[in-house]
Amino acid sequence: MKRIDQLISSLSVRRILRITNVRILAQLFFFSIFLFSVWATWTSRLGGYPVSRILEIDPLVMISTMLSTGYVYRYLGWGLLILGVTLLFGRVFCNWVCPYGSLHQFVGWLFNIGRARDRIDENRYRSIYFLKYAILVVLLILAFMGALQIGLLDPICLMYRSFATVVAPATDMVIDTVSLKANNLELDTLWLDSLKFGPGTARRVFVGSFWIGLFIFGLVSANLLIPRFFCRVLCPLGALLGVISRFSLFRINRDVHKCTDCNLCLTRCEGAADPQGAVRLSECFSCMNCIDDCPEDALSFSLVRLDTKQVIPAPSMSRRKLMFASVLGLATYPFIKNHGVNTDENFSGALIRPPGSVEESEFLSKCIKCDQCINACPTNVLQPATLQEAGIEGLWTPVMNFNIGHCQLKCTLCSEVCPTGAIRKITVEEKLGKGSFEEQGPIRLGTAFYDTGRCLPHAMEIPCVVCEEVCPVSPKAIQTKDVEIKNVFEEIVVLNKPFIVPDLCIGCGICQTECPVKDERAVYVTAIGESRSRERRLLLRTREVG
Amino acid sequence: MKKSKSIQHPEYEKTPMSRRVFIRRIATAGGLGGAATYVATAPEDWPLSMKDRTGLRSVPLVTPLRLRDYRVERPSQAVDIGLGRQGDTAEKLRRALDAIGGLTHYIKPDDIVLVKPNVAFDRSPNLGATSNPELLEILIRMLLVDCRAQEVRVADNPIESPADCFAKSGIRYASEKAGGRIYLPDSNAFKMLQTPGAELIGQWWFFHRPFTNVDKVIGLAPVKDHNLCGASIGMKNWYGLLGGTRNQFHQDIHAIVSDLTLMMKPTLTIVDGTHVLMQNGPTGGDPSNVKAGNAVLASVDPVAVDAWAYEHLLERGRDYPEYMFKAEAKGSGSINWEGRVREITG
Amino acid sequence: MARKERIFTNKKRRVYRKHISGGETIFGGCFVFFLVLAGVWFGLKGDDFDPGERDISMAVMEESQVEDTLYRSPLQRWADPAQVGAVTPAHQLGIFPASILEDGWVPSSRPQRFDESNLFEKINGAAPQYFQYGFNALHFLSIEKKQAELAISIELYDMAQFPNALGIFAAQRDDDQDLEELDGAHFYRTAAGALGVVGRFYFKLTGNQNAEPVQEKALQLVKAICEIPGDSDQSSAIYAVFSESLGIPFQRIVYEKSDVFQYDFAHDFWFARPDASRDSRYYVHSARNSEEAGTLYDKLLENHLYDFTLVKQSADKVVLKHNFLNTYMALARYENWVYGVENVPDVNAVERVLITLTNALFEDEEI
Repeated sequence: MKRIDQLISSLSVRRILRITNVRILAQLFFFSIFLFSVWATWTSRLGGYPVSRILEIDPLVMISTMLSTGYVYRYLGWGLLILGVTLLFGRVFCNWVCPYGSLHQFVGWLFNIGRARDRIDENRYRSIYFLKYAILVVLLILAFMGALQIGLLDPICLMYRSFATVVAPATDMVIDTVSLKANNLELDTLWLDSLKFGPGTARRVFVGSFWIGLFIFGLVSANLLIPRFFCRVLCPLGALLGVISRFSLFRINRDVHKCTDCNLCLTRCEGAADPQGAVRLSECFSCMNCIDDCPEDALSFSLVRLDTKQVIPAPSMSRRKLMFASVLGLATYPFIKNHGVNTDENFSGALIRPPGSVEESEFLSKCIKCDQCINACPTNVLQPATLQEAGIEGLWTPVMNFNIGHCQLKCTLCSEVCPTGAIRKITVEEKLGKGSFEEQGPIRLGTAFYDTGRCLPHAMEIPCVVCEEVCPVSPKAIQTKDVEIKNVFEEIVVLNKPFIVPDLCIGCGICQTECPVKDERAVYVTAIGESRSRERRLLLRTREVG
Repeated sequence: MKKSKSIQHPEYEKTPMSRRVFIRRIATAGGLGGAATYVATAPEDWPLSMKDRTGLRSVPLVTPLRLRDYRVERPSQAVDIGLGRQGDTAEKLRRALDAIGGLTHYIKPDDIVLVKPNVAFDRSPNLGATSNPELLEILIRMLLVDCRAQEVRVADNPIESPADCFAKSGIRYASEKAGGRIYLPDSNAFKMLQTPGAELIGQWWFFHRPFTNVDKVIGLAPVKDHNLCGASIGMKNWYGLLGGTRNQFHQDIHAIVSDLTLMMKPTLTIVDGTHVLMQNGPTGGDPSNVKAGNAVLASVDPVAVDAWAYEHLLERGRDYPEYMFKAEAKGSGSINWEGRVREITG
Repeated sequence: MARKERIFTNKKRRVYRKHISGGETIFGGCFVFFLVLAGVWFGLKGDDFDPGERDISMAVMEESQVEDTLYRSPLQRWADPAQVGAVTPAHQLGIFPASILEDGWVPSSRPQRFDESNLFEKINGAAPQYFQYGFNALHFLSIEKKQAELAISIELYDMAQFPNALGIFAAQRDDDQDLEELDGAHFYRTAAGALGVVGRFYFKLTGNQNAEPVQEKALQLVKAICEIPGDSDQSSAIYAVFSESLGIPFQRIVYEKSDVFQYDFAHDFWFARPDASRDSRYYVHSARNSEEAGTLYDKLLENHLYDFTLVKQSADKVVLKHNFLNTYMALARYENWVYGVENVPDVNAVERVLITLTNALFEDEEI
């Protein structure tokens, strides 16, 4: 015991284990967990890793999906953990856990070459920082009405989405290039595969990922103008935690008797929380930098009862602004809903949702656009939706693009990683409609159609039927009418003219992926006939084989 | 003319450029300009010329790969096709290999061996759409233990997602358990391959990555029904080494499959007749499509073994698919298997 | 020299405070420990999943396997369009076999099929007679040979059963014509065609002119019709008795479906004339059971007595004499059978003929 006492009291140990160092350790830890999660979200690695847990502890995801659906899906109850921590310690999530916050802080620190005096000015509170509360109000009202849009700005969703569709493929591309150069030098580079986010497959591309990349790049760059611009101005999750943190038991306390008003505590204040005056509880990230920076030892992170004065607990948002924000939220709902791109009467044939997806309006009230499903997809078929397919409301939600890949028959990974149940967790048995799911039949994503004007056997007297060969269901949903003809070159050829048996087609899209007519495929799948929606079904009845 | 008022400081002194510096600059400019003029305008065949009169010089030059002939002469007392139908899978394989002279005759110590199973689809092992993982495991062990091969590589370019196909077909587990090394096709894995004499794939994208320094190649093919070309057995198995736009192959599948036999001259073709996909091929997917074949074949003649399997395992008689005749015509083997098959019994 | 431009910050992290509390250190230690625990937990979760959910077991697949029973149309072979007859593919001929197109005949219409609901469209007033005989369908096709301006229309009546076909044939045929037999078909030739029956089919072939090629083709068509599957079933017990046991030729055997003896309660009677030169006929009816046979017997007897007088009566057998024609008839019953002879010129012959019939019908039984 004595030794431990000595150890604790030794100054170097105390300096090493001081709270700011521990905070950095926590940030490293959670960022690594995040990176590991993105890395492990791959078919050969997934195992049972809770790769979506960082999304699931996000209380904004829990609260907003609860508002939009009335229920708390699967692991979303974990959000209570962060709520509880916030009630005790304030917005520690923002500066201890949030990988996006860590990224901002790191970038801000790395590129900030300003002098201490300038930094002190940068870190003073500005009135624009109320904006995040307005955003939160708008998003929560939208969620309550049934349009879930938090994913656009929720930092965790944003982070996952950007890494899945921008950072991961970019990393893989760099590794591929390096590996190719090394291969040419006869070096064995198989080990480099373990660094890739999507090993053992062709290069992954994501439609419209440029805009996702631009979005995160712009937000990160904004750190150079206002430190932690996103966290201070835009972050709805931070706003939510800010509202709650007014009740926290611990906070930064300033001993006014020791304080010399030197303002050094502002040099590295992450939240612009004014620790030099009345600390703004709802802005403070609990980064603890001010404690380190106080030459007078006037600041401490301690229980509220030490000093109940010297604090501004609530967000500084006037009732007028709150009212405006509420009206804006209420007005936005019909505004985006009436856009009319994705209704049961007018929906895009390209709006094909992954297997296990719930009915479309419910889907939109659950999907947070984190794009974990897209990251998990082994064939690259899942793509972030563009405005064309899903409208404003469905921007960056997952859709299947069968020109790029197909839905792997025995793969249900997207449904496993979905944190909110927009893609309900299914088993392979349920997907294929076997065993106890025989009654309800397989999950259908859409229906395949032929463009007989472009299909080689139908239109050009050339044998083909790759589509029939790859059709994975048994019996095959693509059958052929076999005709022997003499073509214009006077050769006798057998044409297997394919046609679709819609009762058997599950819309997996492999026929479209493998069709050699590559620009506009001669066989293509559209969303009609998907089994998740009564409104978008095609057949009155399904005839059975055998 | 009115004399302008000097604004210079009275003590300011000019420092003109020295002659030496001036000449050096002129020389540099002249040299660079002259060199640039030469490089840009000299005729194409002059040394160092960068002139590209037609625009064709800038078309990148591809130097395609060539594959080796991996065949090994069989021992004179052995036959071309070995058949094993007794005992468990290991026993069947051993009997089949013994009939053609034993595996150790073909694989020497320190060889790097590539085994090419058929993992084209994401199907369970017993559905006949992919090679039997048990057989693969036994084969890899034989290669590593009995033949003391330096390394066994397992490679295929599936039609569906590679990682899933290898995992769900059991090939990955079997290979890892036995000590094989799996190569998955990624964007780097393909290079242009030249096959002289081939009708249609004279140059095509080839899954070259696992072939670096390979000494022997063994095909491990299941026996499958195939709507377009009749049957997918040993020869069709090499399809999985090609990449690029192979969905065009179906426009003349028989020519392509026979070309594959020109491209790949394997050391051995092992035909896995444990589960035979009788219909709904080549994907299968339903147990009702599969028949237990209970046979393993090993052969040095890829054509004859396919013909035998077509007749006896797929039970389609002697109405052989066209590609077998084409392969025979291209000199890759002969269809007539009679008198060349030996089954070791007892 | 200007000061070196910095890209990244060069600020060292400095601690200005003088005091670091023990509590903070202890918290720090605990927290690091917590992070390690969390990391270990995260890592251990890697194996915590059910592989069964990501694949499907063979057992389940076998349990819900599907036998592939889809119909797949056969390969349509290429044929030279110059050889016209051969090009019309089998699937465009309906029920008719391809051999009806031999010798360069081609269909001049698509095959048509009429059933009870639309038979009127084809033959209008004649339809009810077919319905009486259990009509099932009419297959109609006309074929032609353009160069020679020859045409034949084929009417093929599917009467469901052989007796029906025989019945309608007997009702419509010209009794003066002698029947020919070919491959199981019984028919006679008309001026430009043929009329006949094979199995459940009753066919009419009508050519456009009385020419040799038409006659030849008609004969070949009869053969072709015999190829249609399922039409050779001529099994009928009573027919067999007449044709085999009593050796009566096809031509003299008749089947009446309804209104037998012009009574609406009598149907399904077979008639046969044992002697070509005489009018006397056997008749036989097989009822479902002996009770029905009894009822029919009584009714027949009762109704016949309006025109006949009773000559002789025993338990299940009567002999009657017609009031005006002076012919005799016998009516008998045995179990579910009602049978007899009619139009017999003298009384002695009645008994004799009846015994012949009885013996033929119930060969193995004692009566």
